[in-house]
Amino acid sequence: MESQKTKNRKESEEDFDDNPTGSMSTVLVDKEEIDDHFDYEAIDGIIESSGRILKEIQNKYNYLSKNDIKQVTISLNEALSDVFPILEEIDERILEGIIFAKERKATNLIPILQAVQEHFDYLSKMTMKRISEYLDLSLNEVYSVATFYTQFKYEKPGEHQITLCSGTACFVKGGNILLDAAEKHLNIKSGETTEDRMFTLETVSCMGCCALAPAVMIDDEIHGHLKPSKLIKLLQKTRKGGS
Amino acid sequence: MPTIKIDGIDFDSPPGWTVLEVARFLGLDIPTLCHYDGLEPWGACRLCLVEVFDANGSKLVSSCTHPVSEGLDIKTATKRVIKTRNMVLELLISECPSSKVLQDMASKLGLNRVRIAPKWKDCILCGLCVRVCEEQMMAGAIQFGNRGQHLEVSPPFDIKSDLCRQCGACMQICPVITLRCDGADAATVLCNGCYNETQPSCADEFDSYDCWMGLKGECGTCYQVIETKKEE
Amino acid sequence: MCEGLGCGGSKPGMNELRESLIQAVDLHNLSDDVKVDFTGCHGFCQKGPIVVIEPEGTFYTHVKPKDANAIIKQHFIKSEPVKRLLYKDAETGKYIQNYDEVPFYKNQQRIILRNCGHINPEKIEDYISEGGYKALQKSLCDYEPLEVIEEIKKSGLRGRGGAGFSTGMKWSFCRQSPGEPKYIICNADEGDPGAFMDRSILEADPHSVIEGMIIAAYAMGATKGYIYVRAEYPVAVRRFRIATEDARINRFLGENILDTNFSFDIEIYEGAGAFVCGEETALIASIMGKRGNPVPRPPYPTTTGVWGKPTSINNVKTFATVPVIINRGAEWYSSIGTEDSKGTAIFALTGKITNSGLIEVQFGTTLREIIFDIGGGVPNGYEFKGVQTGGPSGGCLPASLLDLPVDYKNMAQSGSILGSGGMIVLDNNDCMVKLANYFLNFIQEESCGKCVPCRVGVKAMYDILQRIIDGQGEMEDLDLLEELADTVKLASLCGLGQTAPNPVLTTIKYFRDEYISHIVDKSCPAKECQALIKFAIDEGLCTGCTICFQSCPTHAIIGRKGERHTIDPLRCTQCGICEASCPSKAIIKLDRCEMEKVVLV
Repeated sequence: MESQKTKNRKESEEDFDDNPTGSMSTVLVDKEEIDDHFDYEAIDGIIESSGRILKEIQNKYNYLSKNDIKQVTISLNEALSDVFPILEEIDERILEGIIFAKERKATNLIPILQAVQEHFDYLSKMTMKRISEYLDLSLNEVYSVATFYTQFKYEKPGEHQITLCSGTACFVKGGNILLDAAEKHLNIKSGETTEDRMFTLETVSCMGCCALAPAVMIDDEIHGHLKPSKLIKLLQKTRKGGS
Repeated sequence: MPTIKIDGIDFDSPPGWTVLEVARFLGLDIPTLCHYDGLEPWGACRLCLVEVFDANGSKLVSSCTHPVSEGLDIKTATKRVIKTRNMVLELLISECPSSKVLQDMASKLGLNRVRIAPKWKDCILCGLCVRVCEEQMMAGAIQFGNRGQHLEVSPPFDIKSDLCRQCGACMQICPVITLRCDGADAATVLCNGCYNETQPSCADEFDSYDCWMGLKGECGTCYQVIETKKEE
Repeated sequence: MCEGLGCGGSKPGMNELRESLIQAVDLHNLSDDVKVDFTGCHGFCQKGPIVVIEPEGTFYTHVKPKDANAIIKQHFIKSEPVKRLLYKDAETGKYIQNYDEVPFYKNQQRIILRNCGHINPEKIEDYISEGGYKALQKSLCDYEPLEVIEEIKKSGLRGRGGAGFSTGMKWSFCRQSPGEPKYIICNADEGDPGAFMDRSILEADPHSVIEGMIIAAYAMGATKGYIYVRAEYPVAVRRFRIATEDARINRFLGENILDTNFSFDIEIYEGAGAFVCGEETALIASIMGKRGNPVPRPPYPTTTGVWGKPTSINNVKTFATVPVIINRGAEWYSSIGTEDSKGTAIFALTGKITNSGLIEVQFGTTLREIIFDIGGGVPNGYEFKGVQTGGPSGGCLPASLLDLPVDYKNMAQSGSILGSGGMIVLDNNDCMVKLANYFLNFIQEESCGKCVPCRVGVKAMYDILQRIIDGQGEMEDLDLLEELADTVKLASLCGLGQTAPNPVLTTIKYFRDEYISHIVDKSCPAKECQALIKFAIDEGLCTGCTICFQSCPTHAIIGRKGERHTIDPLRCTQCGICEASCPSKAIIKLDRCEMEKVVLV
């Protein structure tokens, strides 16, 4: 058992080295909520190492990208799955951790929804129900507030996020043609996910990098001054790189 | 007590009243749709617009939400108000021509054309059902979802909510649920306008309104009866 | 020595550039003399990534990671600038070495952006060494709260969020309103497409905003502040969070600020993607965790705001200006600008312009000076057609108004607004009808949908414009469009709807002939409306590279590699992908008259 634990920890550390990331996950797992048969030390170890790596990256680059955090979620899940027996239970624990970390008042609804989406990439009915229970709201109210804001999604997004800027500067420089090209290439409409769950296509009103117009964000990287043919090549490259 | 001037009438209004309340108190007619006594003012339908005059000119405000304040100068039926109000009603009818409430209002206000392509929707999103469910029935079983063009009234995930007690208040209050009479030609956007005072009415036949119901030719029934008798 | 990395995290390869600069410094053993540091946006985004060597201010543009070694070696060891990376003046062809002499910067007056590009936004020491937090000290120790409000009133500062309401008046309303505690909100929900100045300020100089907020709180007697930032700006949120923590450590925020009995703290609130939340009442609803539906005013937020308490909502730029006014006095500030608009304005210059970026000029500067002297005019030899100001709430001004001095009054008279300060320059390839249609589409997506004029009226206007673009418009449509626009403007509940028809009204006012040619001649003068044009390939220019062939989604292009290509008009859907992809610009657009000519030939 002892050796197993150290091995786990080592593996998890290596994981983090590959994806140099950290996470806000230190708040995710509430100790009191975990039953006795869970291995505290291993959990602590994983969290400690993730925190340490987080600090290193922060010092080195002064910046943590969303992709980094996303990757850490995956590796954290993997690492924790050794400790927790059932994957769903981890999700539940993490969800509780995220929700309980915020103060229990109805006005915290949007920050909680944001934190949950940051972690799970989307809001499922189950998560929304849990949030409504915690905040003493009806599911209606949570749903009503969440659907008002475009940030929230209710379906699991694809592996790669393609975000096209549809700001005015991008529009006058041919952003609509770019969108047309991407829609036709991927055979989906804006806001949808491809059938193979590789790409989710989205538009945003402005990314604030109008000097790069027309601009497209693929995952977390912004590509500027794009032509349709170049965008399609980028998409093909992303598809290859991902699979 | 704030003194206000409404359509030229000086009035000492009790504090906390809205312009609409003052107007109704004085018997001035302001059409409303999303306003309902007993529900919080919502100010969304924009049919209750009135013109407020101040030093910088004038602007249109919704009377159901505008609180009275000292020296307020209001006119309820200026040309600008009527023109804008009719256009708003035109927009509403183009959304949902099958509503009796809207059609009656159109006849009353003398709206005689709709230039916008009709959508034949079932809901005008006035919010009355949502508000009555939450404020009077204390259930909150239906809510607004999404926004903008995709705004809808629905329970979450389109599944009937546990909170619904099937009291029927939403149906009772809905202005669209009462269908207009289809008349001869169901496809027209505006119905024949039984309310419409511009159409030939009984006064043409009898020189004056002599109605046992106290109407002034709005119903048009007598006229139609006379016409059919003539034809026979 | 300092180095500026323009446009922060928004450009790919930024981290690599910094890494390679650090490596180059180490390589040449210069780490004692040269310090590689990063700053916020310099504003000259067109030329990014930018590296500035301070204190002398050598200005390098388009720096790539592989250039790092050359810069360090040539600049520091040989003491001569790397010529190929310097800014090249397009007219004279001369290389300009110094930062301040570049025409883009020379013609500006940077007050709000004073520190942007000069300090490291994540270090409070940098801000303090530039005179930061002096204004706070001055107002807390030397002024009574009412005197601060008086000073701001005297300076003539008007809200930079768009409406231009007097800031001093707003503060005094809020102070006079009964109810405790009072709140202040910094509105950084900058959703206007084409405007990015709030983001730049938050990323480059967050402390100036914090200082402005503390002074405002002191003046109004507020104890709690919120800043509402768009969630699309993660870097701004992160830097602002660091800045508030630093300020707390330095006792500028928290209990008993600077050992006085005044306490104040700021909470960061991330928006969740709703343009309408830039509207005051919607923003308050959003902070309270509700749907961002605007509510009719009055009651104004200054009497009934967050949690029903008096609340003052000001823009990022307004707060960033406050410390300067306190430091240098109201008289100095009111000496800048015009009669009714004091101080400076920030514009995000984008679109068809040579030097796009963020600029700050004093009020009263003409559009010509902004677009041609600072912006460098329209590139690629096209003709200037108009400029769209103020985002979806603003209007399009034609070339005939180029000599209009920019201030609140003139802009309002011309039918546009100053708004957030986005300025999108258009050339003769831009169709005004399509642009108006674009803005209406934006509004109908972003509208909350509560009130009828905005939800149904804007949609109706959008449908009419779509008909005109599709070549099915009639002259009556134009009258209906104007009538609808008036209704939406007068009857809408909030500022979003009330200003939504501006792009339509101004384009009809100044470019009416363009609408008429769409409706009567069924032709688009700018050749942008897909239903009114046809694509063809100029055989003289086509090199047969097959790029268009590959990118055409409907396989309408015929031709082998190396041979001239042709377009099958039956299959072509006029999507324009081939035109945008063609490297030799061989694909041409024909309008109706030209089509007829081609058929005749």
